Amino acid sequence: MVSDLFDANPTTFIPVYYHLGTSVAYKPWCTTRFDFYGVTLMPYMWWDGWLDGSYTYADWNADLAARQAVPTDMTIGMSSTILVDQLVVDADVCVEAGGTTKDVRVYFVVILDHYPDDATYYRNAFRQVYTQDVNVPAGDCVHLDHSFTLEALDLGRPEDVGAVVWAQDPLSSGPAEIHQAAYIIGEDTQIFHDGFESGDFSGWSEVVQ
Amino acid sequence: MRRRGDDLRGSRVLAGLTVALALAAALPAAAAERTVVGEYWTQPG
Repeated sequence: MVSDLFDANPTTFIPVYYHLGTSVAYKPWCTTRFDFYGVTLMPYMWWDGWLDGSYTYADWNADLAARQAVPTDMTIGMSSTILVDQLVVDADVCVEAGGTTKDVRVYFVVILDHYPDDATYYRNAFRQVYTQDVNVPAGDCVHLDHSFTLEALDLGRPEDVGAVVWAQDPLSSGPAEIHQAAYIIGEDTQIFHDGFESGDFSGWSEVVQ
Repeated sequence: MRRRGDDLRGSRVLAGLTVALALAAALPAAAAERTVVGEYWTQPG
């Protein structure tokens, strides 16, 4: 099950769920990505925009391991913060020195974990997207940022709000390789956590007054 | 005090450093750890 793979690989794998049909989590971009890869069946998986995982979920553990083993010369550092009704996402998309200069399409994706609520194995439902095409020279970084206006559903459960950033070959259809990704889910997206808003700083390692 | 052979040892050290620097420059960049994206489609059963 995809949620099990996510639990087992919490730092090197980020699934994004596109809910179709009559799902309450449906968004038009779920169909856009469905068509981008020419998917015709469900459930279905594409790994890194490159490896067609098809519907044979028995192979997905091996598929994930295969992609994890592919070296990359890209890095992404990111941060995300909820400010009132905005999710502010910043990312530094880089190519290591000695790597290859790349044109990439950077995707900023907002997700909502544990949604819809009718199945415990639903994770990281797609909510919003922003894309920008950039050229990243070898040994250099490009800084990008975007602010999303969150919907009431997301604002009501900020602990489940997340942001994913990935850099993908800028093609009009798949396969299109994703070279690197980064993500933050939950409390890390909030400035008002660990008791900050209540004045209880016991959960903070350092407080400067 | 300089001794006979210092120049030779110095040149060998310099040559060794040059080779080490050349090898370092020829090595590929250390590969970054990859975070894999799984785009997954599903619908109500």
